[in-house]
Amino acid sequence: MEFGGYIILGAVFAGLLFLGAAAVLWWAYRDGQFSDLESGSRTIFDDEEEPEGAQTDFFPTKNPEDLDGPPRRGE
Amino acid sequence: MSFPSTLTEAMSPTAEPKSDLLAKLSEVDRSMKVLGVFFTVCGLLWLMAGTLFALVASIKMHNVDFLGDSEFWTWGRVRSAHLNAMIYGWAFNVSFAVAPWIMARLCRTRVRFTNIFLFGGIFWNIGVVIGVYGILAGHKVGVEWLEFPAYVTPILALAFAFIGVWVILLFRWRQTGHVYVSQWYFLAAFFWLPWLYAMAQIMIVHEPARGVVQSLTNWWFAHNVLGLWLTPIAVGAAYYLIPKVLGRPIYSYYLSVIGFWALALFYNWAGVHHLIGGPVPAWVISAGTVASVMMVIPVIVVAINHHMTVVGLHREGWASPTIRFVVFGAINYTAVSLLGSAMALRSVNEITHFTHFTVSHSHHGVYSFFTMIMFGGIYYMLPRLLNREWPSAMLISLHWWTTAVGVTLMVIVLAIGGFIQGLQLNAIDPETETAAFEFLEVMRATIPYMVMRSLTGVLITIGHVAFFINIIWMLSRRAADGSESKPTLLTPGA
Repeated sequence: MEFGGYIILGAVFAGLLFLGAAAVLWWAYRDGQFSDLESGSRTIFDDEEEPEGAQTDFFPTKNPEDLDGPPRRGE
Repeated sequence: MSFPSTLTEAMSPTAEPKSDLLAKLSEVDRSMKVLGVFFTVCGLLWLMAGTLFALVASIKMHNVDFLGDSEFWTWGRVRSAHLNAMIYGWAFNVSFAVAPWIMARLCRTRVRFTNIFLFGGIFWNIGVVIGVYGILAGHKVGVEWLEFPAYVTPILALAFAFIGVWVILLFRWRQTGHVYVSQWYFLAAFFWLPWLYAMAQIMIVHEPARGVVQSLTNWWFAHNVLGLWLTPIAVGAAYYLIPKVLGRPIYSYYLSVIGFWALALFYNWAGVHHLIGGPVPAWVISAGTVASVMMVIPVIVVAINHHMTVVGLHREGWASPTIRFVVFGAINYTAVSLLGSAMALRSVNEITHFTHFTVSHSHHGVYSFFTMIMFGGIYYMLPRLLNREWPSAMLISLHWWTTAVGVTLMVIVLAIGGFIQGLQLNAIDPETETAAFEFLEVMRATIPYMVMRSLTGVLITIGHVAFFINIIWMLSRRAADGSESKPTLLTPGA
């Protein structure tokens, strides 16, 4: 392939990537993904199994209660 | 409400009422068990193989006769086998284990059609086995980070197509409205990698470009495998694991979104700083240098977010294996990225280029940052997938101390040795106005640093063996039986 061919190939791929990123950004905006970000940060917690405020990982032989830790999952 | 029975039905936008299919986290974990364990074990085996290759290559740097009678173990082959086993074997497999598992949890959906992913995973590992064997047999391509023989490319491309499509489908099946920042990072990574790999394979292996275009493509690809694949996987995992383990939301979610889009905008340009001093148009190098320095923005954003989320909870973090590894990785993400920005400056690069300083930087990025976060991810993921505890806290501690101390010493030793090497290579004798040191003199001066690197490698190997034993021991145990230890707050049958 000649040098010009690579330029065209690169430009096509780069253009597709740029348009893809722009489309995703537009979708996110329209879908309200940026409208209430701080509440979005809490979506990783689950009141039933892994609630906010509860540490969920310890060394096997450590007792979570020693750290004033949370109740065990399911309690 | 039953699940859609066919793939086409499952992809339909109207197929799934959200309220009926919102899964519990424990249900998600159970549905990811086979995939998570398969990729973790494959990654573990590649980690051990890559470590063996690393030790052999490292010893050969100061003892050239070591295993010198076999062409399979010559330095040029074994070093490339190490790199490719670690990247395409360990790093990709562990990414396939941790990132989709976190994605599934954030999507709150029981995964389906797992055979697609498993099929891709099996083929991926067959491709890596053939590729590593091809390198050792002398069939490698002489391009860094793309050393696998050309006949491996179709296997890896096909395998990743299955894996990538499945991850996109997983996102399509999400039962939650908000897209968490980790999902942004993972989705982007699974889109970016095929783009990188396809372009690099076309322009380097199958329709090779000539001259500097080939070198530019090479370093655009190699640098972006770290920046647009490993980095978003690890940063996305850290954004999930740190707040999750500590039970505290991320400090500033606004910053995390800015960090993601800044990474997407700047990282792609940065790789050409590897060619500073080469016969490359000056504007290309300048663009790469500017982008490398601009990377300070997403790096500082991530650093602020991770630090401020952990601050005040150091005691709790120390009690968690996951947090120990992940925070170590997050700190090193800041360090290696800022150092990388500095190395992209021409005045610094003139000294560090073509020296062990670059090797130090690579290990800093791929191991101190990426691998340590992935270790943390596995420590959090496996107990939930298997519903059983880690068998030995001592082995976790041993793993942590040996790898953290080992890789830190390795990075420091190689950086110091490499910097001195660079100064000596550039030194000019003022009287004769020729090189002040002969090349052989410079190489001999690096030998003490190479010996120290092997010793730090032994330390890291001990950690990997501890990790290996703990995982195999864990897999051979029964599920949670109500024992007193409770690292993950699991209860029997939960």
